[in-house]
Order: sequence, then C-alpha cells, then structure tokens
Amino acid sequence: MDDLTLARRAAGGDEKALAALYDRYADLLFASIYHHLPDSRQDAEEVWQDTWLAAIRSLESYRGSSRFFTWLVGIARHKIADHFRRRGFSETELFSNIPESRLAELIDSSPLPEEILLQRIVRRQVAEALAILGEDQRRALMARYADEKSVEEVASLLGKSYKAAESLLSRARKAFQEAFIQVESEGRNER
Amino acid sequence: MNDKEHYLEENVARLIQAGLGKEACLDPLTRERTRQSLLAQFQKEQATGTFSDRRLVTLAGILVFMAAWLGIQTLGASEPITASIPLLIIAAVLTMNLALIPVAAIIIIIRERRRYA
Repeated sequence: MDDLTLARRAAGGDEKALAALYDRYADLLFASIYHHLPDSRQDAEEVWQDTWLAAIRSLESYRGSSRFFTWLVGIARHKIADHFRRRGFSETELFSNIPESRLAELIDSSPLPEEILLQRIVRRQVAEALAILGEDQRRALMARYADEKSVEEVASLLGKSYKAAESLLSRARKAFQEAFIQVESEGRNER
Repeated sequence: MNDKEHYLEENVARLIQAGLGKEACLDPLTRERTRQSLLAQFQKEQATGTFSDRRLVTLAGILVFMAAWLGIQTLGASEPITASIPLLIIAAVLTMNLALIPVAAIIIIIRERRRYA
C-alpha cells in the first residue's frame, strides 16, 4: 500500500496504517535526525519522538504533494531548529554544511573520497534516497550493506532464491543511484 | 561485473554504511517503546476527537457574533455611555478586542495545524 493511502487511513483513525508508516520510516528518520545531532544520542531520540508526535497530529495536512518521508524530514527540521534555538544557535548555522561536489555523478566512476562520506548532508541524503525505493529494494540494501548480511542471508530474509536476491540487489543499487541523483538535485533546487 | 557496476556496488555499500552506520541505528528497545507510546497517544487523541477547521471557523463566527451582540446591547441599554463620544469609542474598542480573541485563537490553531503541510 502506498504512503498516501496509509497516511489518509491513519488520519482517519486507522492504527494499523500508522504502525505501517512507522515501521517503514522509523529507522531512516532516526538516521536522518542523528546526523544533525551526532553529539547527543539522547537529544536525537527526543527530537525523533517529537517528530513522530507532531506527524500524527498533522497527518490531515499531508496531501501527497511531496514524498511522505520528505514530509517527515520537513517536520524533523522544524524540531531540530527548535532544539538548537533553545540552545542559542542561529538558523544559518544549522543547515549550512552543503557539499559543492556533484556526488551523484561520481557514484559509479571512482571510489568516493572519505571526506565526502563523512559529510552530514551526504549521510542524510542516503536516508532520503533509501526512502524513495520500494520496500523490497530498501530492505535488501539495508540488510546487505547496513547489517552486512551475505547474499544468502538477504535471500532467506526476503524469502527469495539466491539468484533472485542477487538480481534484486543489482536493481536496487541502480534504483538507489537514481534516487540519490534525484535527492541531490532536489536539495540543490531548495538551496 | 564491469568497472561501473563494481564502483557502484562499492560506493553504495560505503554510502549506506556512512548513512546508516551502527551509531545512527536505533536501539530496538527504544524503537519498540516509542512505537507503543505513539500508538497509545494516537488512540487517546482519536478517542478525545478533534474539531475540523470548518467547525473551528463556525465556532469563531458564533463567538464573534455573541461578543458583538453583547456590545451593542450594552451600548443601547446605557444612555450615559452613548452620550459621551470618548466612552463610546473606548467601549467599541474593548468590544472589538473581545470579539477578536476567539478569531486570533482559531487562526493560531489552524496555522499550527498547517505548519507542516
């Protein structure tokens, strides 16, 4: 079921729809928030919980004009800004870590430099790009590369044959590359 | 596997590890606890019910009408007040302020609801 349908059902009081959205995006949202607040895990968890609370109260306002995860990240940015404002930071200091490199163009032509991988914005874009993928592709990539499972383990996790898992991973990598280019260009347009 | 596929696999792996490394992973206990409390909060808010924007605007309209009606009645019933222009102006300003309180409150509620739209 797509995100908009789930969000509409949840806005209408369907608890299972809300649980499905939570299960789909809880980890990615936390990773995205954590890269803004790497110095305090507790603060990151607090902001993450506040974001979900604000999201369930604003579900009616989600109309599908952006992706659901992008909408969640938008709420999280408000919460992060509130968090920093309480600690006396200015707005411009918060979101100014912007890479000039066109990372997406390098992704299949050379090993990426370490300093690019360490940039917060790149780490957040990873979460946003994963959120665009279909459920199977996202689970496959996360299992294979974040949890470092073997292809056999990914196959058994998704109930597929070895060959099918390999082919799914290959499609998922290409889809991730495209999603990453999309997220990067949307980020540039916003800036 | 050609060079492009090889670099793509290597870079996707490194990007995902950078983006979703162990330190950026949720502790499963926190994840589950938040899930439960979020669903409990959701049930609670569903049970208490909420006013739709249309209902809020209607409510504001009724309150404004009542405040204005009350102001007019007060002015009409009190001859000494209507005879004095400064007092009349003060009474009108006070009534206007009273009438705008519910309007302002409802505008704030609706703006807060749409903040993330």
